[in-house]
Amino acid sequence: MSRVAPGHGDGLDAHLVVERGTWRLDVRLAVAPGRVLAVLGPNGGGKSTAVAALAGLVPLRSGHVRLGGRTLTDATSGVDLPPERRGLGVVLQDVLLVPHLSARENVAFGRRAAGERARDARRHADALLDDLGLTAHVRTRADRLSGGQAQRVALARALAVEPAALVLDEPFAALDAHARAHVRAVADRHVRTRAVPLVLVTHDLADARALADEVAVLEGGRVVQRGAPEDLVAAPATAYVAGLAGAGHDERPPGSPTPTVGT
Amino acid sequence: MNGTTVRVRGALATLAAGCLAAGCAGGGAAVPAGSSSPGPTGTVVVLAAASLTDVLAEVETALEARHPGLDVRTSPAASSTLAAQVVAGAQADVLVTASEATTATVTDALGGEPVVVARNTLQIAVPAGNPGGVTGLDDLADPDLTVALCDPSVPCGAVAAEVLASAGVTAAPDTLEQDVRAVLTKVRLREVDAALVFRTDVLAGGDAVEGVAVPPEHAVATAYPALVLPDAPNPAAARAVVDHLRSPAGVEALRAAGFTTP
Amino acid sequence: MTRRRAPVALLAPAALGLVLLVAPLLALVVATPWGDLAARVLAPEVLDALRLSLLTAGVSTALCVLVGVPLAWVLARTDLPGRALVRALVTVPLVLPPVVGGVALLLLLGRQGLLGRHLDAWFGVTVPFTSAAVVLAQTFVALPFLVLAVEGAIAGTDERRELAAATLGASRWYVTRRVTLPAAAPGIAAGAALCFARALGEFGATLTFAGSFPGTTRTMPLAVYLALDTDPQAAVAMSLLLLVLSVAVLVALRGRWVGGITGARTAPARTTVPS
Repeated sequence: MSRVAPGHGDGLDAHLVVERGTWRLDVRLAVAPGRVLAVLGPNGGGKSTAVAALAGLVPLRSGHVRLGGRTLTDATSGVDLPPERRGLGVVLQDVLLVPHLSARENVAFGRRAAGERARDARRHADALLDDLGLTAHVRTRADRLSGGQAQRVALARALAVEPAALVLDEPFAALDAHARAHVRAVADRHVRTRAVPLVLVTHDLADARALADEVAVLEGGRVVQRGAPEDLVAAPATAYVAGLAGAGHDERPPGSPTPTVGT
Repeated sequence: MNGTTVRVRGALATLAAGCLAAGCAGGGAAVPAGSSSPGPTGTVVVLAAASLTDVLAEVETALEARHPGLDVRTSPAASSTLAAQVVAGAQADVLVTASEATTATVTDALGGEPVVVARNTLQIAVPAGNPGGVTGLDDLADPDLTVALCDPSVPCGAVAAEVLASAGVTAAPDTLEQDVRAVLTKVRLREVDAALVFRTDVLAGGDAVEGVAVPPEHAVATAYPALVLPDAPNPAAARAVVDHLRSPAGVEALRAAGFTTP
Repeated sequence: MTRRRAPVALLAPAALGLVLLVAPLLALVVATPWGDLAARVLAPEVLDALRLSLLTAGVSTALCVLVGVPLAWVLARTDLPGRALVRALVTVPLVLPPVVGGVALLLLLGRQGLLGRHLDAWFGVTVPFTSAAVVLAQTFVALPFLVLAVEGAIAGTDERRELAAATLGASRWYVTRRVTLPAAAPGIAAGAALCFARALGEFGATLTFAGSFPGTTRTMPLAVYLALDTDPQAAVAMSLLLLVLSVAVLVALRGRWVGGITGARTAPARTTVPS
């Protein structure tokens, strides 16, 4: 297991500072190509805000996001690429498919927006959906898909644009155990064969154990622990991490606020 | 709603007048000399053709000055609209229309004896400076000029049709308006080069409107009958209004507005 | 959703409101000369006015959609400075007496108007007293209905879906075309229906700006108003025709889409569930 040096020229390198009133997110993330960083943490810890900041849906107060030598945003130099020019494959926690389009058209969406012929984009989409076990739902309107199906379509449409990095916010949360293992494997294969960095936001230590090379635990807008998944289990730094390690999955403190993405 | 207001006001005016007569003003306030003779009091509602608007404003001022207990309320509108309102039961004392035929629809239904108080003739109205170079009725047939007429189904349009037929002109109008004021507005705004309106309207148009005379042999005159309505709530005041229109002062006001008087 | 019984405190004024709206229309129906209705409605001058009304209201509606949907998008989805002022300006024709709207149009596009005098001098084009003037007058009064309806529809769609679509590399225009507008389509249809109905009923601005000439500018409402003075029975018959037409348009277009609007406005269900 190789450690990824911050500021790695080919990977994703981010320093995200976002302020909302008195709440503040301040994290540094770095992921090398073909590597997976899992971001764990309780609700309100800042995970979804970090995703939104990476995707360009919320502005940075300070910091930067660089990807493979490109600067996506930099608060000091004033560079701030809009979401559509960042070249990221993003799955947001709320999935947010285009409701009136079919699963196929949702997946083909990005390629068609880039000017690819509809027929080619659809063929590509069908192959991805097939990979994810959705062959039967290619023509189903997105708003008629189940939660688990929608989540897989969201992953497929993020993969379809062949992004330079993947940012997935709880991409397996609505999947049953069987589908989850399968979809994890698809994501893993994509990351390793195409050598793209993946930021995987999750509540679930099992996701992190299955995919991540490194884990960052986000609490109160800061990284409270960093390390390989097994290190976390061995030496939990906070009660939250200890809870994760003990129970094997997260527990949500009742009444904790849910951050909204991109609004 | 309006009717209620009018009636209540009328009652108040009557009360006030009675109080004056009984000398209850207290302190022996001097009563104006003009009001010492018993005259009409209360409210009198006059429905009049739109072309009489300005004349009636003068009538109102003059009568109210002479009879302090009198409140003259005028309601100008298209003659046919007014006639329809009266037949439908609108409370009013006097009706003056721009058409004997229109007044006939009222007398047929309710009775009454109209008297013609004024006559009006048509004139060609052009915007100040006469941009279309209009010289006579023939120009109304010029398709290059923008021409406004009243619709033939309303009185001013019917008269216009008579005038044009008498002159043997087939007009080429661009719009057939609902009433004469709408026609005049379009002349004032210089949106049309020529229009057929009443002589009174040309005068009312002021500096913005000029008249081009219609030859006397084609100038069809329209009569303005005044009618004291048979069920007028205030018949004395109603008669005073009609009498005033026929008095030297009334005739002067009518002539100043461009009417001829019988 | 379970149906609940409405409290009397709401039902009574609701019923009164409905009566206030419907009773005058009922009176119109009662006054209708049913015996020779067909003859009156099929009279050539009525058909002329009807044809002109449908044509001009259709063109006005198309024009409103063409400029109104982008305007609504700007109001709903951008934070341009002065947006509140723009929204207020869009609403002005709603509160302005239409006759005043007609005068304003004359002052702009009349032969002596700010713009009209140049149109006349340079191109020999005069707008008043043409069917184009009718379309302009109708567009002026009907546009706010469309803009407000569509702005509401766009604001009611989930902007986060557009952002999610943008992360796939789609330009703002592409997202607007394929995500925003289809999602707002029911609102656009409802707005267009309202707009068409308003254009169909337009009277004051048309009379002032376009005049009243059979076949060119005398639309149904103008014909009704004229007939009121000359042939009240015909006026009632034409009014009924106009009423039936408007109701048909509103029911056909709005009724069909109203479900869609409420559907589009409900917040998207969160698909993430704690495992």
